[in-house]
Order: sequence, then C-alpha cells, then structure tokens
Amino acid sequence: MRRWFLQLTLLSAAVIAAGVLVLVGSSNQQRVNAQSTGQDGGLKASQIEGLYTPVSMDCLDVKFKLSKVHEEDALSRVQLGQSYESVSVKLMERLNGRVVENKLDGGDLIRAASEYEKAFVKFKDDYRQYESSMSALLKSDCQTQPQIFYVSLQRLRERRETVHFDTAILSSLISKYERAFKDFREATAKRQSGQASSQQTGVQQ
Amino acid sequence: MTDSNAPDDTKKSTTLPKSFLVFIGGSIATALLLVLISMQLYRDSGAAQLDLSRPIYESVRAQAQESERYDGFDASGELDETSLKEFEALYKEKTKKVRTTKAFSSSPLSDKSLGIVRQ
Repeated sequence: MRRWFLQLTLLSAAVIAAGVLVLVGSSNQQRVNAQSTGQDGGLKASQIEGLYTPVSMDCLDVKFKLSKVHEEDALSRVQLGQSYESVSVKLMERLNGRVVENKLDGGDLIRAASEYEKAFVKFKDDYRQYESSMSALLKSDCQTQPQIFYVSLQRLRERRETVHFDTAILSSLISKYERAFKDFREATAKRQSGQASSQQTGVQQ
Repeated sequence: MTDSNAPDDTKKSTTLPKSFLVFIGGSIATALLLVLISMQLYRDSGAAQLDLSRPIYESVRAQAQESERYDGFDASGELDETSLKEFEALYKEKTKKVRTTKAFSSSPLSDKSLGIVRQ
C-alpha cells in the first residue's frame, strides 16, 4: 500500500512541477519581452534616446503611481467599454434593425455603425496591448535597470496615446452616426409628407 | 485442519496495477494542461483586464457597478416621427459622457507626474 502511495505522490509531484515550470517560463518570457526591444524587434528613435539619457527616479514611488494609473485605467476601460457596447448593441443595431424591418433606405446608418464596430474592436485590442505593457512594466526591475525601465515606459506612453486616439475616433464615429441619423430622419419626413400629399390628391380626385 | 505453510491466495497485493497509476497521472496532467490553456485564454482574450474582481482592482471595484438597467431602443416596431424622436433623445443621453471623455490622456504617465528627472 505504501509503495503505490509513494509512486502516486512522486508522479503527481512531477506533473505539478512541470506545470509550475511552464507557468514560470511563460511569465519570465513576458517580462523579458517587456524589457527588451519589443515585439517588432527594433527600437524607435525615442527609445534609443531614452536608453542613453540618464534618469533619476524614486523607483518605488514611480511604481506606486503607475499602479494607481493602472487601477484607474481599468475602471475607465470597464465604464467606457460598457457605454460603447450599449451605444452599439442597444441603440445603433436596434435602429438599423428597424430600418431594415421597415424596408427603408438606411445605408449610411449601417455603414456608420459598421465603422463604429470596427473602431471598437481596435480600441479593445489596443487597450489589451497597453495593459499587457503596463503589467509587465509594474513587474520589471527599475532599481537595477532604470534605463531599460525608462525605455519600456516610453513604449507604454506610445500605446496609451494609441488608446486615447481610439477613444477620439470612437467619439467622431458617434457624431458621424448622429449626422447619418439626422439625414435619415429628414429623408423619412420628406417621404412621409410626400405620401400624405399624394394620398390627399387621390382623395380629392 | 488448515495447512499453515500453504500459500495464501486470498492475500491482497500491496501494489496497484501500472495502468491505474497511469490513469491517475494522466488525469492530473490533463487537468493541469486544461488549467494552463484556460489561464492563457483568460489573459489573451482580454477578460483578465476587465475582471475587476482581481485583488489589484479592489479600490475601484465599487465604482464600476452599474446602478441601473439600460433597456435602450426597442428592437421592433414602426419608424415614425415619435419613435425617431425617442431614439434621438436616448442617443444623445447615452453618448453625452463618452463624447467628452478625456480617458487615457498622456499626462498621468509624463515624467513630471511620475517624478522622473532626465539628466
């Protein structure tokens, strides 16, 4: 009995150790990626400049401030994401559905909604990359490698700018849909008044 | 009268068959593999970034809870002036906040905000 129990324990330990090794390996790889040159391989001019510019910082303080930004970003992402999703699913899609159901011409509305949907997907992807960079930066060592930390911070800033730009694009697409809606409304009103006048003419005749 | 020297056939074996050990080990390995795959999916799909139940987001969790249900525009019906007016009001109300958002501006990551001095 003892023998099989020992065998089972050893086997389980070996499997768990293998799993832990895989997890640690994956985590280290991410850290290395964050600290090295990035996924595309090369350093940008601003990053090269950052690498050779001496910086001084209170490492713990910088990390504390970054972690606060990280928390606030998560909240912004969730709240903005919910609002963007509601606009798309509970307003745009439903109006477009009713336009189709009533066999009206709403091509501009559908095109604007489609652009909005694509921009929303891009926003989600860009935020995912930004958040991964932020998490890696928070785990990285800024005390012994401040220059590499600073280069990673610069890349993080670029990714944040991209996310900010995405929100601006989404805002402009919301306005674009609104303009398409106004045009659609005007066209519908004209068509309805045209129908009404033709019915009146028919009645008089 | 029993023969005490005769081999005892009813005596149980102290070792389990190899196939049983392979089965147990395989089950554990499969479970670990599935956990690893699901963790990877959780991270890569972006769900981890929206999961405010994680301990690091404890301070902002309460602010993220939606206070009221939002029904939006009705999915079916005629499109007359009344329904278009209703849509316009709903759209303006819902997009007011997102249109003016200043989220993810560059200032919180500036050298000044983080207290970094370039020499």
